[in-house]
Amino acid sequence: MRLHRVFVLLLVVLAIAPAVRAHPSAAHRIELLTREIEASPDDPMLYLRRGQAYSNEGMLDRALADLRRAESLGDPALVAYEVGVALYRRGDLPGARAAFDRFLERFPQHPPALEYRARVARDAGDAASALADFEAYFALQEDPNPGDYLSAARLVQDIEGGGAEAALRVLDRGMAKLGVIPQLQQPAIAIERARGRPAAAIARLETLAPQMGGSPDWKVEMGELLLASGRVEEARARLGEAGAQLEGLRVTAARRTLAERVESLLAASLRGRSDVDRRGSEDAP
Amino acid sequence: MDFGRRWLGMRGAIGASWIGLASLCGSVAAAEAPERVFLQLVTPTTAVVKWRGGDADQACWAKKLSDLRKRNWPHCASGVSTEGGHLEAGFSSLAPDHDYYYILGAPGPDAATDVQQRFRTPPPNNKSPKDGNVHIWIVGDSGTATETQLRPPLGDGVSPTHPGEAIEVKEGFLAYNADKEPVDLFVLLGDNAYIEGRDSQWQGAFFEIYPEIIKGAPVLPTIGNHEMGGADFDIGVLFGFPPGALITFLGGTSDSADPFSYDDGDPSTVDDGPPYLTIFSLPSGGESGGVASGTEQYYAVDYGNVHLVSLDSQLSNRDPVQRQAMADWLVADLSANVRDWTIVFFHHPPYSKGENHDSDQEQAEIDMREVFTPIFDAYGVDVVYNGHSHSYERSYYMGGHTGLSTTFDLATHAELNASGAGASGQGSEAYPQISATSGADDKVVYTVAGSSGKADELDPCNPGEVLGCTPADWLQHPAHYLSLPEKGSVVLDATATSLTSRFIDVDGAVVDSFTITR
Repeated sequence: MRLHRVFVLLLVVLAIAPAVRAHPSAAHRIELLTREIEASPDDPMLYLRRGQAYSNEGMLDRALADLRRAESLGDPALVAYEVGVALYRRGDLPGARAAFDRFLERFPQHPPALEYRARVARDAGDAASALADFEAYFALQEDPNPGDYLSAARLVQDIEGGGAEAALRVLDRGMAKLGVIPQLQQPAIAIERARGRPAAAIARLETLAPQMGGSPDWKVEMGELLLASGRVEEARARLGEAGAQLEGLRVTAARRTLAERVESLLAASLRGRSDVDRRGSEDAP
Repeated sequence: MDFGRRWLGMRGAIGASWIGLASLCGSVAAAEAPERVFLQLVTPTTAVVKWRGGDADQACWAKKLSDLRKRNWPHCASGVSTEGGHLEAGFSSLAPDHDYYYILGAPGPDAATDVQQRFRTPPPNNKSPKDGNVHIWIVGDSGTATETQLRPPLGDGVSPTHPGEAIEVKEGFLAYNADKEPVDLFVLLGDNAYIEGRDSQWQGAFFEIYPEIIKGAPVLPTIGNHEMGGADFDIGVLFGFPPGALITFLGGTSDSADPFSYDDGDPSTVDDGPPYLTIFSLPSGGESGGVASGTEQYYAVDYGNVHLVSLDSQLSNRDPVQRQAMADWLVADLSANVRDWTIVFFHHPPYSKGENHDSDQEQAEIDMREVFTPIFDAYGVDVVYNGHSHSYERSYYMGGHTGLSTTFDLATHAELNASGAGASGQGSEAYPQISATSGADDKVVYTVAGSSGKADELDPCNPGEVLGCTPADWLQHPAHYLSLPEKGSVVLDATATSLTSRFIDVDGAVVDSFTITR
């Protein structure tokens, strides 16, 4: 903890605590820094701060010029994070990657740099590297917000050749840390359904049963997944339970919609049952 | 999420866990009083008491106070050390719907008994308590006991601005409640420790203001903007000055989604997240009913026939993906909820025309309205409570409105009375939980109750002035049945057939009320 605090303090002192933060206008801040640079033209921190301000305003050429100047005047590794950010914003993925590599070599447990490098890897189509950096990032978090995992999963999900697996790994890592929660398990179920794995989706939905299994919503979702798996009679049983339960609960707009879904799925299940029956008779000797 | 600015992503543990159950009872009686004692996580069969200071290292519980004076009384639990120097003890194997007393320290003839250290466990499932009523006290923006003038040059940074006003509100409530049952639940609507939500401010504005309440009723808080420290703020532009002319650190102005961005404004300290998350132990794992949220920033609680949800309009709401995760969780939680009544609370009001806080203009309020009110409508939420604006504003029984105040139409969005006016919720105009027009539980009453520590007063804005003055449409949101610039708090009573909300002023008088029936 002490090392962590020292590290945080170092960063605060070196890089992220300019005199003016948050809401004050960026133009004014840049103007102030320019005046300070005129007074102290060899101070690398001033160039770093102004480069950061330019970068945040999308003035990337000016940002990089300042950051390069800071590199030449001081320790380049301390500037590498901001260089990586600016290069990433300019779309220079190899350059950004190299900058974040330099920074992480010096500060391997720096969460924002790990996050940024994961995004670089994502944009480069490198699912394995993106996942590795996200996992390292989350390993450093003691109590992250569930949305952090969701955000990371979305970032890696669309990478061709392994994005879905990487997204599931991120979501599962989240649930290993935070417990099984619907805001992470439901996206995982959606991924399994989208890639045609209803059995895997059912297994995931079962993990929500201790908290939600008594609700008609859970039963309807399970019925739908069972139908997709060809388990028609089980599906009908679940849907029947949900329909009966809904009749006893006070009416809400959501429950009305759910009741309509039950009717629709039960009708689909009848078609599914006839399909199964037909296949059964065709298979008969 | 903002991937690029989370520099302070590492920290010590937040989110205390408690594991201390039955243990040996043998230490000496507590001689030194703790500086804070409060209840958390009360379920039909368990409870957690949390304290700081004093020399007690355990807590004991019993149905009869006299049992705690028995030297060998066995029902005791060790205090487990948690963040912020607190101790927590978990009471187990409690009987549902029963009164319990507890002490800190050892049982015996010299035990430090305190009749205020009494709580009632809720009944199981969807039942009303034995006395037929769940009695809830709600305060918003009550943290003014530690509010001081702004820092120079805007003020001296030291002088109190609202001395004694939070106590006035409490005294009003106690006068009203003198012949009524003790509080079952104590709900905080945020901004309960001005100005930066420091631990010392929580001590002065909360623990020293409500000690007798929080010993006996579990505290259910939500995160307000003043729980999240502050930021350097270009306040001059609000007074018509050029950008950058008047920049100052200002409590309550953080707009980060990251709890670790918490800044208490004291450059001599290294901040490690908001004290709010250190002080309270909240049911992120569904320990108190409802669906697990995985975070203490938002959570659900069941208490008898009431389901309560605390949302995070300050942090999770600032980031689109975190907000969506919170919304997805809310849908899952409300889908599984079958309690008679559903109460939601968070800090930023979706409908308000308060001084400095206009729900047509503040993004946090707009996002809460656009993303969450449709969920409230669809999933049977009955009442929503917010703070932030330092006034009392109470809506009609309404639904389907996510736009600016100018788009609110009484006939379209509100339950009407026989005359075609907005129904009052009083007497013969009590709101039926199932709307007569839609046949569904799809309406909500929204109440802003952010005047439990101060109330804004009429002070018309000069041209160009937008802060610290009342604009022309102050307290005139068309969705509101009543708006009052008065200090007070809310009492909510839930029976099997009715839910009644009352606004209580500093004299203990009921200034407004409405009832929903089922």
